[in-house]
Amino acid sequence: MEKKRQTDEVYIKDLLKSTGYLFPETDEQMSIYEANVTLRELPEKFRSPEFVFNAVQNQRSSKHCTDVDKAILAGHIINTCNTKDFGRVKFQKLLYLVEHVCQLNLRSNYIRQTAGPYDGVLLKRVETMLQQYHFYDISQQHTDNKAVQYIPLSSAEELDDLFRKNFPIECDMIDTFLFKFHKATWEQCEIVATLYAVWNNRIIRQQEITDELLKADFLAWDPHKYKYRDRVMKALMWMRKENIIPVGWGNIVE
Amino acid sequence: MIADGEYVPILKNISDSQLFALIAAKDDLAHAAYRVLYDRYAQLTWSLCCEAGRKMVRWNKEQFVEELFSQTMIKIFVHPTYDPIKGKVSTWISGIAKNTALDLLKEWNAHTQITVEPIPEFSSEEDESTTPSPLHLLLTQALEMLSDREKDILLTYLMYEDGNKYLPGTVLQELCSRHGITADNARQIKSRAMKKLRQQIQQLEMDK
Repeated sequence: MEKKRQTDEVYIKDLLKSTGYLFPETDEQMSIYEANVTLRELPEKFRSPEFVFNAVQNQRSSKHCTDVDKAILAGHIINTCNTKDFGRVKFQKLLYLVEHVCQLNLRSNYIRQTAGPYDGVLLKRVETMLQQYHFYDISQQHTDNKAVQYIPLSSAEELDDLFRKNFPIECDMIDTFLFKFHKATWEQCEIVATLYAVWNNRIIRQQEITDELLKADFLAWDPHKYKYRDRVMKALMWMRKENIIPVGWGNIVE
Repeated sequence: MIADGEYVPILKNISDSQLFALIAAKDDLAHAAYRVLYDRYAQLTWSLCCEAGRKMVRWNKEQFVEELFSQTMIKIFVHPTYDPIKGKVSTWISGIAKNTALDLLKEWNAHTQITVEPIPEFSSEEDESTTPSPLHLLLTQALEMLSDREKDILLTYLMYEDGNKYLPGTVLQELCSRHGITADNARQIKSRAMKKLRQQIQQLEMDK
């Protein structure tokens, strides 16, 4: 009796899927469907795939991150770029760059600080969440520079899956971007983030943009930036080569 | 600079797998490759969404179908993970459309129920823009012999159940409250409807 019921069910399901009443799931069902279907004409708005390209572009620029998203993104950045010198500066600068290059809305409020764009509230929140979700522990060394280390906790292994689940549209773009900084030092991250910020500021303010003006803005950011004076132009060239070019997205960093 | 559309004639003769590889590379050719793939499969996907998709909702069918098609085509572009070992591209697309439809359905009925009078009916009506195949016609006739309640319950079960996957509790709950029945009743009605449908099909086949 049970067997008969199962046979009935298989037969009915197969029929429903081969005729398009339900979505075909096997090649055989699909072949029957394709052989029998009279294809419907696409509505005008779907005749070309422009709507797909536009939607992807819009989705990229409208991802609103929850606290959980922020923690997952932060954890993924640490996972991907955790070199020996990885500390708070590199982390904060990469978070700033990912947010702006990939146009993610982290509801941040960056201000100008010695090492580049800085949002202390966001940083603190993200670090708390990293610990709360058992992704990373934050340990500060008791040496003069008080360097911060991110130590993986029990849930750090799950980060990759969570990242792909929570950032399905953006994950490839974020990974491609982070790969460029895989071996970067914290100083290189600081230079690029600061250059990106001054460049983005000029776009938002609709001011003239030349390499010299960007260098001047960079050096005027903070007296400590003077030590990078010979590296600015090379960094600008590298940013152009790697297509890390701001578009005026986000707020002015002042 | 060459517009991506200008690559399309060059890519027209390459295989589906090669197109997917180009889309996955996300380089300059990705859009052009997707255009070719779109030309090959958009109409079939649209037809599937119209036929299978519109039967999944009780109201706002046209909007549901458009949303379903649009989200399916976006997913294909964003996650071009097709593996030729697993079967045909069209079957792979159908799987994506089905999963998208089930996801969409969760919010759809809940959202639209408030504004539209909830008339419990699972329509098997077709629009008149296409001629159904004899097999399709047979099934439609057989389904017409079932009551709206039986059709709704049977097709909702079959939509979700697949191998080890069962009808989610929330969907079952919604189904039961829609028809004012218990979960046990729903299962019995499903079994009865299945049997009835099978008999109807056999009868119709014999009559031909």
